[in-house]
Amino acid sequence: MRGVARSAVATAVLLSLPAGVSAQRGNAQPPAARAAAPIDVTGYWVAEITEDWRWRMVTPAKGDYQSIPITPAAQKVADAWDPAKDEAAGESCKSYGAPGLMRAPTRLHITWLDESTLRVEADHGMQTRLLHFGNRTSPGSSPSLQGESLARWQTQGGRGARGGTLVVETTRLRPGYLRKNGVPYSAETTMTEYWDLIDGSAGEQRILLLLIVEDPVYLQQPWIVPVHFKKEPDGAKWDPTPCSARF
Amino acid sequence: MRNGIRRPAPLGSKVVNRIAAAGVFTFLALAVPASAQVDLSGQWGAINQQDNMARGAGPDLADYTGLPINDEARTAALSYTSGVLSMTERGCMDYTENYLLFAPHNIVIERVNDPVTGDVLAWRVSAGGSDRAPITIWMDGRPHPSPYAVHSFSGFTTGDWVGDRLVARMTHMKRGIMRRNGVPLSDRATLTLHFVRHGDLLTVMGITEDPIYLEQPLAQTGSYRLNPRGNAPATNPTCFPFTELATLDKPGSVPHFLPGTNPDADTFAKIYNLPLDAAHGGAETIYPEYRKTLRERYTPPAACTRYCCGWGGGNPAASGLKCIAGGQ
Repeated sequence: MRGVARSAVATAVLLSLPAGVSAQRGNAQPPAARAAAPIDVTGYWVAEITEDWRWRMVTPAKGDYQSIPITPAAQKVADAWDPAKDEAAGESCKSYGAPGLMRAPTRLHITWLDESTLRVEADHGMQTRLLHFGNRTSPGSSPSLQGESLARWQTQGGRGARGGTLVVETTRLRPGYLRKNGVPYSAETTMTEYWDLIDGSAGEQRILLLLIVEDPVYLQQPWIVPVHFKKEPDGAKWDPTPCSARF
Repeated sequence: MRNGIRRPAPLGSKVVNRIAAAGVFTFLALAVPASAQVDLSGQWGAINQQDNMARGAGPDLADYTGLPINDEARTAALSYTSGVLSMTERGCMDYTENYLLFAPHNIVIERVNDPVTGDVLAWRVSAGGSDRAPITIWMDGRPHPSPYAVHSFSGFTTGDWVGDRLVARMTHMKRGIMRRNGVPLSDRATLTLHFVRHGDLLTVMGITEDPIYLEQPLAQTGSYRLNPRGNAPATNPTCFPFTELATLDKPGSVPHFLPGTNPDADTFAKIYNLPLDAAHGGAETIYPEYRKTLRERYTPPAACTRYCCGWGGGNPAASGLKCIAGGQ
């Protein structure tokens, strides 16, 4: 009788452990990020500009900060925006840093660079982001346009659950623009992304990407915006174009 | 069992075994949640950090940017005047269920349990302070009614969990709008809503399909933050139609513009230096390659002259900004 009860409790405890815990038993190495991927975000994707069209598809007027919770300091920078100066300084790509790029009218080509690095290429401005899985640190590395992105999978719980989310934290960004018309972000900016896959009723697939941009210098509160990309069958429409400070 | 004869177990042993088995079942049920147990209930504050004006004060007249509409939709939209909302029979036409996708309101999500079994029978999505009727997302597997069944402001919606995402499919919508400047939505439209929660943030993606007015499905998104102090009403005041203009009491009087007579057909395009085809939408205009057609036809206005800080959340006095918050 006691045996039955004990084994019942033991079974319950064992089964209730998260899968990740049981997978770590016996010093087994966790699977590489690529093998562990609960969703497949690779392939060609195109941004659907159905929101904020006037601010994303074309360069809005100088001084148009609508929808972005900027600080007075940011307003001062935005009001001084001069694309000619950016061009002269070799800074035509300032709106192509990760926080601006992911809302841009772009196509993405996503591939695995290696077993623990996702490569996200954008034809808009010919930019490349690398999303690193694992405990990567790069002390002393210089801030860059695309910054340093640490990625992890967030798997879904529940019986019969499938899928998951790609979570990305980006730091070490060189200052740039959230919007083409010079609305700035600072070097203290962090960006958190949640990448989810959405299957449509007609078989189409989309990435729903939630962007959370935090900047203690130029934002009064986090800027939280979802964007979406539709999957394309191939790279037939891939069209690399260089950065432009004006259009 | 011995010699082929089943020996009854002692009564106490049976009871203990059953209790143990029941305990295991209960423990497992609690410890390993069903995939349909992401809790969406609560009050969710609209973030509105995109399409701030369109969701807030309202879009400009004849601003159809970002909408993959066809010629029929464009023609109907250009015949629209907001005076039509003053008619008793049309006063609520803006408040169909897809209003969620372009309105500024917070939402309240309630879980509706079956009073007998305790199962989740439905999720109810209300829009606090809005005239929109609550969306009831049935989770009990009931079928959609016949296509010929009545279409209502509530539509008919069923839901399923796909992993941690609630997917709701809505049919039986009434004729309405897809933007608050008269872009029409037909009563043959369907809407698929995806509710995705990450921590205290909820993103709602809507994919609208309309064989009458859309060239392709329209994907739109909005985000919300959990707000335990929202105090939003759980139920909405229903839209109350009444005639606002005495002249509309005359039979057959429907405010409208005949084709080619809308005085604001190009106002928005002119203010923002946009080619008219860009301002008037269409499927091709939402993709990056459309920019090639704009490169030689667009230059930004010299300076922002209206609504530069947006609406509502962009209150310049509160934020310390000095900018143009209003406009004409």
